[in-house]
Amino acid sequence: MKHLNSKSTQLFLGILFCSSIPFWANDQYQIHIATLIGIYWVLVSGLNLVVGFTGQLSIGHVGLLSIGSYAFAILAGKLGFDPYLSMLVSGCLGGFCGLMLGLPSLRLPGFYFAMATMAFSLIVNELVLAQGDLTGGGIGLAGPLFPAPFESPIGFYYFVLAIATLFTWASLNIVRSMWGRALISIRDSEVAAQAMGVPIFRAKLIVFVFSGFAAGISGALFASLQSYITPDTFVFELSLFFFVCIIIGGKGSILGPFLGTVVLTALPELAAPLAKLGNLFYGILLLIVVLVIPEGIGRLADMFIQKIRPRLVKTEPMKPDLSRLAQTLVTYSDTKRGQK
Amino acid sequence: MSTTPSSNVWELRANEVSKKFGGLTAVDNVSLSLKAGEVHGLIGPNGSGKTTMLNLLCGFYAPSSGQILMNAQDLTNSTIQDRAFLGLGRTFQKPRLLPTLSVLDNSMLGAWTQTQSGFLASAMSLPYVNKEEQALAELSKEILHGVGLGMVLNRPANLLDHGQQRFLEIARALVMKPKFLLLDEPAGGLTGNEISLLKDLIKVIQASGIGVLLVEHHTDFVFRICDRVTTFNVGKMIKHGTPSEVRTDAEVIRVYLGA
Repeated sequence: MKHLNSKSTQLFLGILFCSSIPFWANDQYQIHIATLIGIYWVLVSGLNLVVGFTGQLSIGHVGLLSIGSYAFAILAGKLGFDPYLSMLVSGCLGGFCGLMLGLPSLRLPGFYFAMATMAFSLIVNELVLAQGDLTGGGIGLAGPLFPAPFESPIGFYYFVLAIATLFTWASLNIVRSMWGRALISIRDSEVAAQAMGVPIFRAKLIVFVFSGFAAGISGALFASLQSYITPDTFVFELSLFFFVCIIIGGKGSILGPFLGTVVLTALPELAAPLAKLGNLFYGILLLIVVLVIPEGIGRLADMFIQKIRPRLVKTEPMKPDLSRLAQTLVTYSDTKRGQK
Repeated sequence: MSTTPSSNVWELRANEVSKKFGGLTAVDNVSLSLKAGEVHGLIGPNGSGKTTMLNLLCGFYAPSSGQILMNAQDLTNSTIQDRAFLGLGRTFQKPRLLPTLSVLDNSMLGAWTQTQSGFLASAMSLPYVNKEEQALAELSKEILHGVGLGMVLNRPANLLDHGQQRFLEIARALVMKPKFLLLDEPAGGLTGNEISLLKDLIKVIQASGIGVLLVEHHTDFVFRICDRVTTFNVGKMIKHGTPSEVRTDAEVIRVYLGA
């Protein structure tokens, strides 16, 4: 690469900073919170493509997280399979359940889709309770640790960091590709998307399955971090929490929802009085963001700069270059048409 | 896929097409054709069924009866997306762009039909994905420079003025590599100067072998650039012919042009 890509540079600096956390963190608890943020972010990065880019309001991803967690606890804990393999299977199961949920529900318009995903997450929790011999019912299951060097809190933190980086990188790639444009076209103008040939349902389904896979992986890591999971862990509020992370972060951004996840996870934990007022805190923050910075906290710096030094938009008259257009169209129509 | 005959053979046809919305017959038993390399104008009073006709051709509506054909291929039951892949590009009466994306990204969306890269390959940013992306970006830039948007490649679409938005929609449709371009009131809201630029663009598009259907209210604009003109009134075709034939037709003057 000749010049530095600013997004890649940002990502690199971000990883560098995150890698340094264990060196200056005060205690194990802070490492635990950092790990939790990473695990939530794996899920949110996938969900962000669904909510922030495709505009499909899923509020049921806690169901997929729960499925990933239980799959991991059962496979790696009860049955003693290899944890890495179990994690991968948990991810695939999450993706499969995303497919099963998406097939009937993704054709529904916005609000009804949200209701369907909410119903899904409630059903999953009921099923977990009902299938006591598999899931431990209300008593729950132990989530096994990963083998060395990832069994220590710091080791596990780096493991999570690596996976979170991978998902961040993948979603950055998607967003910058043709698929990113297609997803945004579904969000902003379905008729334009159709006219350009974007297969709306299939594209929604693919990105939803991807988010299910991310949720499954996130679930496996979550079970291992919490070391014990019960149905009470996967309350519906957690689903709303993921959703709010994205809304606060801003649609069509990756940095924003990441900051949203960090702020919403860390602030109530680090500022003790806020912990008691968890839901109130989310509510107030959501109100502030929606009313004051509807673009999301990801664009906060941008907005600030705009306020101080507004960007002037000059409207220059258009000057078509007709010979260039003719040249392009003629050579273009001679090349073979793309086929899918 | 069908073999590609030389470009001047392509024809898009509507055969005795009707469209009913409940009790309202918006298009009543109309046949028309659009050939490669011609500009075909569709005029008529508001509510006469011009836009409905355009939507029938590109698949937003299914006809109540009749057929839509591209050469011998029956498109009547194929989706909008299928028709996009077969080479039907369109613009909208009110520009439908992606407001937060740049001019370049907006036009590149038109290249969806040319894209081979799958979701996972894109997620992993495989070398062939990047190569394809670069080639499509180059092409889109050429077309944007061609239509006169070369100086605002990175500007978000919501900061464009109205004329620029209309031209961007045309650029996006051209990136689709269309055989036919259906323009829904492209001159609506343009300044006189912009209309004359639009006229030049359509001439170049036509010369490259693309068939252009023009739904429009600016009648002198239509009569100046069209090879054939079809006039609609309350869903029926009342006159079809060369601009001079249509312009002097008594019925067309009575219902639409005025004396």
